[in-house]
Amino acid sequence: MTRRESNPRQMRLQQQIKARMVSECEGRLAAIRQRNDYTPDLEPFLEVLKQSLFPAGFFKATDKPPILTLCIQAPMELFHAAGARAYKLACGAHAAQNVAPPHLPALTCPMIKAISGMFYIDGELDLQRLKFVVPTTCDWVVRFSELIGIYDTAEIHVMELPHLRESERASHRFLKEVQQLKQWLEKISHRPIRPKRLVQSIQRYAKAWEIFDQLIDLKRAQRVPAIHFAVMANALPYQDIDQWITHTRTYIRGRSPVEQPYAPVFLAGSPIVFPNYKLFDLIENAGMAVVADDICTLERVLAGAVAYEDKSEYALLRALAERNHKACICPTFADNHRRINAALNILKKEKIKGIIFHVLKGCHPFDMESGLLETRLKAQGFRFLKIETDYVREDEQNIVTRLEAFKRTLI
Amino acid sequence: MVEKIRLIIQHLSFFLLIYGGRLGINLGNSLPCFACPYVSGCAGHCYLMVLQRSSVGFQTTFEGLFSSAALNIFYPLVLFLLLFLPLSKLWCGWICPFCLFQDWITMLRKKTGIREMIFPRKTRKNLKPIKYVLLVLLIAIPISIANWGLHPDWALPFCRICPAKPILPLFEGNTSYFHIDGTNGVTIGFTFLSMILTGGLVVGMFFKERFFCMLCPMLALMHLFRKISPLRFEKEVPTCTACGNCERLCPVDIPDVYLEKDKKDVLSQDCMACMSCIESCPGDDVLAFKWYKFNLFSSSKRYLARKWSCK
Repeated sequence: MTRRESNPRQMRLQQQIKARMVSECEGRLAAIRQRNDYTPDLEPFLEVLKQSLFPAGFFKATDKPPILTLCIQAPMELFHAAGARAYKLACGAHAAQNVAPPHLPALTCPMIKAISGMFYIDGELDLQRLKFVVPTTCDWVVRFSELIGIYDTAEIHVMELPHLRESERASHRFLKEVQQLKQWLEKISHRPIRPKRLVQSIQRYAKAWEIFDQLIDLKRAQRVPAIHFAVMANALPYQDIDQWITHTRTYIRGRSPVEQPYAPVFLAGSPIVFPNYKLFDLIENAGMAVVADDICTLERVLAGAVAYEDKSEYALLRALAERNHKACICPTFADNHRRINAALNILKKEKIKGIIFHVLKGCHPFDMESGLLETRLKAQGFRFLKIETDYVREDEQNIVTRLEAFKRTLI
Repeated sequence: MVEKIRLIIQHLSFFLLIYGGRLGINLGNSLPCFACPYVSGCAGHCYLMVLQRSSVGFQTTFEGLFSSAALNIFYPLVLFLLLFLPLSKLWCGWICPFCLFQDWITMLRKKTGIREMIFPRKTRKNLKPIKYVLLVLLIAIPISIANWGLHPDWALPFCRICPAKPILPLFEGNTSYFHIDGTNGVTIGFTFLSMILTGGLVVGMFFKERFFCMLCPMLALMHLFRKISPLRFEKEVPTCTACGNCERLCPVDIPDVYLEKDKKDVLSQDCMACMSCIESCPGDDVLAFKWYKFNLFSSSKRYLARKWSCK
C-alpha cells in the first residue's frame, strides 16, 4: 500500500488513521500535561514533537530545506553547517503502524512500520521530492527505502556504516563516508561547508551536549522525571539547536528538588520515541524511576562533544566521523563489548541495582544484545529484566505485573 | 585550561633554560630535557651530552668503567634520576624547550589551516625502536672511541646530529651551527647529516605534531626509569567506552591508551604527559595522571564539554 495507489477507499482509510494518530498524540500530550510534575517549560518541546508526527506540516513550518535521516550516525553538525534542517525519521505512533505496506513481514520493526505508515497518512507529503540520509545500521534501516517504495525515486544518500568500531580500516572507511556526506549536503543545500562554519556548528552542538549533560545529572537525582527527559531528548533532532538550548536552560532553571525518590533503574535497549512512552508510565506505576539509560533516542541522542586536533577540514570531519562511529552505542557493531562498560559504570556510580532492557518486537540487534548484556550484568550482581513489547497497549497489565515483581528484587 | 597552563609553563621553562645562565642560574648538566649546551648562556645542560662525554660519560675505557672512575659516570646519573623522578615525562610535555619549538611550528600549521599528517598504527609501531637504536648508538660510539680506536671526531655523536644543536642557538642569535665542517670525512659526514636531518625534521614537525619526539632518545631513556617515578598515567579500563578521542587528540597518535583493555598503567614509551588525551576523554575519571596517590588531573565529561563548546 503506497501513496501513489491512493483511491477513495484508501483516502478514507488515510483520514481515519490520521484522526487516530492525532488522537493518540493528543492523548499522550494530555497525559504529560496532567502530571503533577508538569511545567509549562515543556511546551516548546511538546509542540515540536506533535509537529514531528506530520512531516508535511513540519517542513512547511521550517525555513530551511529538510533532509530526513535515520539513526544517529549522520553528524548533525554537518546538516547545521550546510544550513539544512535534519528531520529524524522516527515514529512511536501505534496508529501509523496500521497502514504500513502489506508486504512488510509480520514481525517488522515497529519503528520502521510506523514511519512507513506516517508517510502514507500524510497526504500532502511528496515522497519523491524528499531527500534522505540513510546510515546502514540494522537490516531494517538498510532496506528502509526499498521497503517503503522510494528507492528509485527519492534522492537517497546511503552512508555505509562499517560494522567494526575499533579497527583503523573501519575508521578510514567511515571518514570517507562523512566526507562524501559533506559533499552531498553541499550539493543539496547549494552552500559550501567551510571549516569556520563547521567549527561554529560543532561548538553549538557541544554547548547542547553540555546542557544535555546537566539534564542527565538532574535525571540521575530524580529531579527530572524520565518522561520529561524523553520529551526533551526526542525533540532535540527536530528543533533548531539554539532554540533547544534556550528552552532546556529555561526548563532546568525551573526544576525543584524531588519530594519522594523512587527505586532507581537503568533503561537500555530499543529506541523509545514519542508518543510511545508506555514503558515510562508502567515503570512509574510499578514504583520505579528511570534515572539512566543508554538508548539512542534518549541519553545517547547526542554522542558527546566533538574534540578536534585543528580547524582544518580533514581534522574536523575526522573528529565528527569518529564521534559518530567509535563513540556510537548501536548494537549492530561487531566489536561492541566495550559499549557495556558505559552502562556498568553508571550502574556502579549511581548505585542502581536493576536494569530494564526494552526490546521492540522485530528489533533483532537489541534482542541479540539483551542476552549478552544479561550474562555480564548478572555476573556482577545486577538485576535484569527484559521487556519485549511493541506499540500496542494490550500487554500493559502483563508488563506492569512483571515490573512490580522486578521492583521487589531491587530492595 | 590545562593546555593553557601547560603553554605558560613551557614558555617560562623555555626562557629559563635558554637565557637563565645570563641571570646566573645553573641547573647542572643532567637535565632530563633538551636544554642544549650549545646555547651559550643556557641555565643547564641536557643529560644526553654527559652520557656521551669522556670521563663523566661513556667515552671511557673498560678499565675506567669497572673501577672507581665509574663513579664519575654514576654521579650525573644520580642527579639525572633525582631530577627525573618527581616529574618523569612531565619534563617532555611541560618543560623541554625543544618541544615548545615543535609546538610553535604546529601552531603555525594550525594557523594556516593545513591538515596534520596522520601515521597509520603500523608506521607508528615501526618508528618506535628508532629512539632506542639512537640511545644505544650514543652510548656505543663513545665506548668505541675509548676502547677500539674509533676516530675522536666521532665524539658526541648524537649532539652532532641533534636538530636542537643548530635550532636552539638561533634564539640567542647564533647561526654558526648551520654549516658544513670540512675538516675531514667524519666531520663532513656529521655536519651534512645534521643539516639534512634538521631540515627534514623541521618539515616533519610542520606536518606532524611533535615529530621529533617520536625519535627522541631522551624519551627512551626516561621510559627505562618510568617505573621508579611516582608519576602514573592510569586508565580505568572497565569504564572506557572506546570513543577514540585519546588516540586522535594525542600529538603523536599513541593508540595504546585507546586499545588497552586490561592493564591500568597506560604510560606508553612515546607518551610525553601532555595530557591532551585526558582533556579529550568524555568519561569521568577514566583517564588520570597521578603523582603517587594524588590526582593531578583526571578526565571529566563536563570539562570536555566546556572546552569544546561555544562560549
